[in-house]
Amino acid sequence: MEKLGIDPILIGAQVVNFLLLLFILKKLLYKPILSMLDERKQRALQIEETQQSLKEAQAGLGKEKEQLVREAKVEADKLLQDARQVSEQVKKQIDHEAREKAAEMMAKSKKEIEAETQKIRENIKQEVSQVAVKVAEEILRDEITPEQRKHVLAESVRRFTNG
Amino acid sequence: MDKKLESVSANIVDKILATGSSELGEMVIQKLKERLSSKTATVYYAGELEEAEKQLVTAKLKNKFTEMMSVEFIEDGSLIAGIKIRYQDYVYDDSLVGKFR
Repeated sequence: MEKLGIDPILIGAQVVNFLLLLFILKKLLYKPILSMLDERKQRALQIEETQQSLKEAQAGLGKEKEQLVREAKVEADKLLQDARQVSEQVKKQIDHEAREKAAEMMAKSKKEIEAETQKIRENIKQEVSQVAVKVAEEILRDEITPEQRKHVLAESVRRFTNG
Repeated sequence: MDKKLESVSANIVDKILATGSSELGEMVIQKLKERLSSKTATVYYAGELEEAEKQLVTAKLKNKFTEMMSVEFIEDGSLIAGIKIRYQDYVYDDSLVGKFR
């Protein structure tokens, strides 16, 4: 062995050295590093789990959201329908009232027109009578003779004195 | 005219003249006219009214209105024919125009 250049003591020492180093490294380096790696692995697992649960939660929320949106749409449709019905009713009511009002106004106008027409007729009658009287007076004034006038006067005096 | 009435009138006139105021005289005349007109009946007629007819009308009016003092006769052609009498609030219309209206 000495001829090969192998020193057993040296090898022994190196082995011891090596083992010592291994021991020291294991104690001071490997363990902490390994534990650190473990921790990281654990954390990574945890994060993954959290992400998974968040995904699931999100999926759940998404479904809930969809449900809410559906419900809201149904409610909105219902409200719209109700609003349309109310609007129709109000429109009908307004139409009806407007027609009644228009009929009332027409009837009133008709009455007023009739009254005005009657008044005009009366006025015309009066004026025509007045004109007729005037014409009759003029004719009589022109046609009456002095003898007739004298006779009428005498009769008038007789009526007054005998009355 | 009655002599007593004549004498009374003459006295009144003398007293008025004695005041020397012509204004007083005019006022008295004005008042007399107003009072007399309210006691005067007016007869409007169209045509020819005989004197006898005037007297008949006058007598009838004096009988009806004892306080009336005089009657005035006015020709009014607008009546066409007949008579119309007015005395204070009293109106008698027997004219042809009155009959039309």
